[in-house]
Amino acid sequence: MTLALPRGAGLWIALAALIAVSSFVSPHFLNPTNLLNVLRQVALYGILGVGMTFVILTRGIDLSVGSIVAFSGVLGATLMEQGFPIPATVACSLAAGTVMGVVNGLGVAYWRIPAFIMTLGSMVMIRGFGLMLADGGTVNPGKAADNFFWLGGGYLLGIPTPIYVFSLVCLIAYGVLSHTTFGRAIFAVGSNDEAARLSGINVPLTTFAVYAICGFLAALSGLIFLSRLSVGDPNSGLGLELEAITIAVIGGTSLFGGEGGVSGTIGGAMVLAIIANVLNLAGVSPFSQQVVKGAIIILAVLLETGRKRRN
Amino acid sequence: MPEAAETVLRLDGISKSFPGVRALSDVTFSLARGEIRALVGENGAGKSTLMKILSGAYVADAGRIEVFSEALTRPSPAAMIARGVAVIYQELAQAPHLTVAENIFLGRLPRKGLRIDWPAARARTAEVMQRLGFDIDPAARLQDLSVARRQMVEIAKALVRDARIIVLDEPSAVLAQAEIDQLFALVKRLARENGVAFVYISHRLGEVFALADTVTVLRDGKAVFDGKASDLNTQILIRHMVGRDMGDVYPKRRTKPGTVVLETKGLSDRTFLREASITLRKGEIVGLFGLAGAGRTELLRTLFGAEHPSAGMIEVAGAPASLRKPRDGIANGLGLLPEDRKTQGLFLIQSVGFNILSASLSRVSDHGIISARRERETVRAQIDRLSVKTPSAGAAVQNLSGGNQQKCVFARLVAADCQILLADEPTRGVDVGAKREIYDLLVELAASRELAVLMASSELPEVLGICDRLYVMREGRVVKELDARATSEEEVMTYAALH
Amino acid sequence: MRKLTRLALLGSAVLAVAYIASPALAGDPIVIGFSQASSNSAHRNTMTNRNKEYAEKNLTDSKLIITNAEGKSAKQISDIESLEVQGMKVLMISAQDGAAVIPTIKGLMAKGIKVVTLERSLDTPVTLHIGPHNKPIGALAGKFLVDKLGGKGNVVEIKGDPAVAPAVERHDGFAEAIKGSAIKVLAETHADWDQEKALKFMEDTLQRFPAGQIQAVYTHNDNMAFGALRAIQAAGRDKEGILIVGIDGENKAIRAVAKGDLAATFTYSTVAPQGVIAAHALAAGDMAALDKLGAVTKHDDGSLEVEIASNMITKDNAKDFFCKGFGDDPECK
Repeated sequence: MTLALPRGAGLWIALAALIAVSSFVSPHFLNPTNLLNVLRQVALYGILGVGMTFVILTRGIDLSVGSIVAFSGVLGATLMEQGFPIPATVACSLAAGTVMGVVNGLGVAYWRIPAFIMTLGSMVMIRGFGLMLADGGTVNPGKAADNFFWLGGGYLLGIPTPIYVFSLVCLIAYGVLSHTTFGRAIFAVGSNDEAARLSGINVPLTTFAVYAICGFLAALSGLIFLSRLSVGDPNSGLGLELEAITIAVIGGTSLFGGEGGVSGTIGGAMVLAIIANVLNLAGVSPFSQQVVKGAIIILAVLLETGRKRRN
Repeated sequence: MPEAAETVLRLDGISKSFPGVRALSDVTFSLARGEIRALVGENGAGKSTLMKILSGAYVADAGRIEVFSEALTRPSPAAMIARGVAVIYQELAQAPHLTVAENIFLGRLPRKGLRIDWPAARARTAEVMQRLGFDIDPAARLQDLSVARRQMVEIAKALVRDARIIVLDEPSAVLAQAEIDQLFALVKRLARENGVAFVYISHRLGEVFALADTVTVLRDGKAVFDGKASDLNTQILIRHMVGRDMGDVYPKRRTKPGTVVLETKGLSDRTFLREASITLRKGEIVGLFGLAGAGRTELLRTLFGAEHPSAGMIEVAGAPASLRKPRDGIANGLGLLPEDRKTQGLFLIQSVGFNILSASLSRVSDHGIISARRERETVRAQIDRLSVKTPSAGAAVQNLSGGNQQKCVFARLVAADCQILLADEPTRGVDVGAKREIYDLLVELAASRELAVLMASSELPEVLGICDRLYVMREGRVVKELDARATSEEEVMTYAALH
Repeated sequence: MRKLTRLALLGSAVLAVAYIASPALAGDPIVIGFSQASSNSAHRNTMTNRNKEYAEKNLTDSKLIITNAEGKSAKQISDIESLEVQGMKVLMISAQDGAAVIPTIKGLMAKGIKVVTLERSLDTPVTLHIGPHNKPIGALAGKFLVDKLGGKGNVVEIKGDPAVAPAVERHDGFAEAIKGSAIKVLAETHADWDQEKALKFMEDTLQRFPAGQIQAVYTHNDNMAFGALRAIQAAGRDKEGILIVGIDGENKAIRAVAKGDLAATFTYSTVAPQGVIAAHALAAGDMAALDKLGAVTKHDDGSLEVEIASNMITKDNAKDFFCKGFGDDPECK
């Protein structure tokens, strides 16, 4: 009588339906260049989504990723403008993002500040740092950025470079979550932190680590954005945290912790990227786009909750 | 019970499954006017599932429901209430800050035009209370009443809604003896004089014989007995419930205690514990008894390292141990079975395998990477050894029965090579058959693996039945050590309760 | 009371009076208040900083006090109140939210404090409004495209944040200018002044309309123009001759125009140092200085206005404007 669907089925069904509808709505959707463009968007936002997945798995949240993206872009642009070599610039920006994640982690894990509040505060603070560093305007490295363009805008064997970066991130994340004691600890902490503690798991350290990871991935994402745009904009990335959370949640990561994974996040990133793309191709007004996006998000989550309830 | 009374309720061939679990198989259950039927069975036998189907909260996968000869398909709770079915749950569904009258007429307050007719509501409540023989003020706030009286209000509410079939789900668990007697008298009167049919669910087998006309016994989702209470006695009843002869409730054992593995002197903590001193030997099962708030959980947690002591020393296997966090406890061979497995012991949404392995992650991994093979083997070994009843290692632990869930937590400790088992209420919320399995398990672990077991329990028969020695705690102190074989319940209670 | 204590108290009182009275004796500086809306754009920061520098260097008889509302209209109101307490004679203001500050402005005008609005006008009488007008700029852009495309062609319009007046006006001016011609807006969106959003939209739009179907892109600011440029370059369609038009006259855009990447941009004045010059002129009653800024028009409600016209920057004249705009440009150090 009832269909016993496997976990996450709701997402892939929605995705398949979306792809089918999209090819119907616009003949340009299946154009190879367009599909590669979509995949690049999946990679750009997916990296953030993976970082957010780690955090949400521990029943936490990180509202500061948008600000970290903007800041690392501004920092990278500033360093390039000053003549720093690219590898040093990349290392510094990644380090800066990680440090910000570390501060978030300290606050949540050791100072016991609720994640929502801690990362809300750092969201505002880091945005301020970015504005200070850029003196309110955008930072323009000019020619110095040309050698960096390949990361965000380049192609390798015909496929946009960010996709390679994203694939690597996903592989490592998957490996960690599924096959390491650290990954297991993350799920334990998110499912029941008291039981995890009584099992001898170092709960504060696990919690701390996921925020550091999220900060690092946000900085990585910021660098890719910087490379593609060749400008550091302290006002960029507004609302990115909600995008990342949406990707994780559509992908089946439960906001209550302990449930979710990388494959779902990839699916979630694809859903969002395809929706945005096909609505543009169809010439739908930006206001209607918001409405449609929200409706599809609710639909995808409904499918998954409905499946859970029926089972 | 009048003979050949009309059938008011008939559930025929009811089946219901959840993922991995067949909760009910082809159950038939019927009630006649004025009949009091007891519904008995172990935890997980299917009683609450059957009642939820009766109340409309669940939809059966197969079978027929007939209420007052009217066949119903997929009835909703509202439909069942409208037809006179009322279920009074253990966790009473009431609004504690409203008055008795408001609760009784919840959602159906009498009106005068657009305004609520308070005088009428109060008058009708008083009338109902009088008719039932209750001495309850309609204007009293529910939260000010005792649990027993709240239960009476609940019954009154059902009657005001013209309930003809009332299900009582373990009502006596929260009542004192005098109140139980009052409840039984009321039930009998309503059945005999007003023809109200009752379903009475309880674990207390003595009550079944005191109250019920007929009994239905569920076991593993099937109705294995359906007949008159007078055709049963306790022995037969238990046999139906458990499927085998229980024999003695507690396993026989012969102890040979070995060397001292755990010793503490003068253990105190900042808030409650006062100079607790105990000794534990290999192969022993030692009980920790006390009334609520005596400090048993605090002592166990402090021994494990989950709480910090402020004074005193702990020695493990003769060497002083600093136990400042659970990891230290585990490293020293201690294992804690927490008091509330749902909130402290289990990762409910995770699988059985996940739960079993959570304290042994480093044992099945190299450099942080888990070996899938060692993981599988360890989990399988534990499931087999402890006879955990689960469809697979990957099944969600929340779908297991209470007893099997508890076994998963045990399995976790055994897999982590626990030498000293600190068990806090190991058989709480576990039904008769599974309790016996856990006793057997404790005995076996103590004997063959030479585990030392320190077991906190509020069930005195259990402590005396299975332990070699026991400590009595009172107000944070260990006040007495007794030989379990040589003492009596009265003696233990004296030490536990004296001011 | 002891004699020494009394002397000390008397002495302090004299000093206090002298201190308070000294401005009156010395000739107090004219207090000019400047309530700025926010600090998160180069345009706004240039407005603040250049006015500040000019005042420090040239207006020695005045004291310029600057507050920043950090994008919050409630804070702007309390900023203005604190400026009033400090005795300002004239207020320069660029409003975060035009409606929210009207009651406060009305109060100031009633008390005889002069009000000069910079760049963002208010719907209430003020002493003077000075700044560029967005609608004529939009019209200039439209006219530019009409000329360059010979009156016909397809345009993609990438608009700013729909909640603020500049985006609305830049759109309206453009729409009016292309009315009657065969120029059609093929696709449009709101990209909220964000470069990434503009890039994404342009990327998809290029997919939607293959080669030859897009003649021009009109973006409401240079930031978004760069986004569109990158998308076109990434798609390999930069040889198609798609004209990209931006607004603001940022330094890096001027360079891009000179290089040929952008077809045109239009200066959007940062009203600096014109803002503080006008405020000073009003405070000191020096109408001649005011006239020097530009044509002064008078409205029916008594308020004055100086419009700072926009300059169109194309490849021909871009050289003259190098480093004269605002914003970061590595070659302008």
